[in-house]
Amino acid sequence: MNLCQICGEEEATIKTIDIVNNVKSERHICEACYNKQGLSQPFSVPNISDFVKLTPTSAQIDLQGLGELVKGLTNPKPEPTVPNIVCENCGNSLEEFHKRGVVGCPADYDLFCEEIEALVSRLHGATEHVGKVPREIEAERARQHRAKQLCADLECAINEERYEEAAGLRDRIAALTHDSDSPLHETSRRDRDEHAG
Amino acid sequence: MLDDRFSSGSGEWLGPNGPDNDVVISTRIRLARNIRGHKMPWRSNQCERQEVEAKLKSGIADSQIIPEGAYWSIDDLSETERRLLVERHLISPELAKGRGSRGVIFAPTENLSIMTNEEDHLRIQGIHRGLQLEETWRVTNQIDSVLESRLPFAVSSRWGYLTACPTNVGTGLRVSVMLHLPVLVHTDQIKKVHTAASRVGLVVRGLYGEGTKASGDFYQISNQVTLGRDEVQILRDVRTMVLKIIEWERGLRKLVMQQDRVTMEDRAWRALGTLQYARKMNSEETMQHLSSVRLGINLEILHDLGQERINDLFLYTQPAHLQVLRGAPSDPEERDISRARLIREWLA
Ligand SMILES: [Zn+2]
Ligand SMILES: [Zn+2]
Repeated sequence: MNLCQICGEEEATIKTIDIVNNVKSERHICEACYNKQGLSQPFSVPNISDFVKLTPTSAQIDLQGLGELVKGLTNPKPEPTVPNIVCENCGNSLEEFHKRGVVGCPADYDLFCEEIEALVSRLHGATEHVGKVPREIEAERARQHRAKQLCADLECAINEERYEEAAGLRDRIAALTHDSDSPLHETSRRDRDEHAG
Repeated sequence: MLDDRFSSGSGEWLGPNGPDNDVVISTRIRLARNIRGHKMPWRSNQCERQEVEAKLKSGIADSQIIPEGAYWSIDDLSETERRLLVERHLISPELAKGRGSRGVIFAPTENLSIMTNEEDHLRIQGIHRGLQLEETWRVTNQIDSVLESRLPFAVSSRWGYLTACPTNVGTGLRVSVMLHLPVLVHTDQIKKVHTAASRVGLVVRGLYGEGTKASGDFYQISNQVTLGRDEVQILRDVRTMVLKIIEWERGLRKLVMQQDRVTMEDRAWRALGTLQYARKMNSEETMQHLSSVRLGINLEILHDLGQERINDLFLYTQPAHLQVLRGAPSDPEERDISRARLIREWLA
């Protein structure tokens, strides 16, 4: 007996085929897991693009109305009804992204932001990265975090009418924001601070 | 042409005496990275891929991360050589299928390989014997940090590392531990592994990816989630699960040896006998018998048989290795005969 590749408990009775980047991969899963994925038509061939279509964003629902949404859920090969967006950089379109489930260039992540968000929240259960980033970005992150803290301090100072302190805080925030176009600048200044401390 | 290093021996990661080697074969970690301002490989034409490949090659060369490694362009390798590298886990089947401006550079120890223009511009892979999550991560992470100072990686502060497929976005990290679980399979409890793994967002696959039945009782366990969890958490999730599976497998081995020792002995000796005397042997059967012999060695039923030789046989009985070693014809029956002869000689 072949076990379901999702739950590993039930017998796999359904074969699904994902086509990602022209590479086909098969999965054998049970009926319960199949239904859980919202793929209600057995023996159709869902792929990652159907995954995207099954989780339309609120904007799309407004655009298409509820009837269209229901059609999208039951029709295994729905026609694209969303206005097609095309990336200026790579020529990849939203339609193409739906079809293949891969982006054409890094900029597509911003361009197809809503679709990506719907997809990754299903895939990963999260929509925000935590963990390693290149040092340059890390410095930028640290600066933003610092600026945020100082802003909170500033608000506090103003509320409590400590105006002299507030002025100082304002200058420090301005300095941080000013530096932001030059990440290297920030790094070298942090190095100085470390030497001084 | 690859050199003839491949006609004997295997990568360091397949060697004996790795941590928890009785159950864990190897630990593999890969990072997916792309270069800012360039199209993904699938979207690029030959000219654009060539430009990216050149950038990557000089970035890798300048950073001196694999000084003893040569860069192999996929186009310069024969079909057999490409398959050979897949069998050694140095390149992915996907890279082997591609043409034009893609390739690989790997360390002579085979502990480290970097693929260019695969699904992503860059795939950095570290692989070590036994369970070595921290060490494998340390090395792979270090390579990534060195490369990031020479190559502008595509990153956003919200999505993390931007990958061609959103299944890898965020950390771009895939941790895979290859396990040998003959007694969990024998006692029909492998579904316990599937259930437990899927509950914590991990996936269990066979030796060669998506198939339902794992070949020779080998299973790969890896993370699916790459976004919203950092590298330390992902490593910890995999570690926790793998330690649990090791405990189950060991517990069952002990139990079966107490309650039904003779069945285990019979299985090991029968497999060894078949390997030593058979005249025709296909891949699947070979894997099954080698698995039983490997178990027999770990249960101290079989002595005087080096783990190393058995590990090498796992590799050299696969089609491309057999062909390089024996010039075996592509006819399946001829190959099965050639395979059986190789095994007989190595075990004589
Ligand atoms: Zn299931
Ligand atoms: Zn694009």
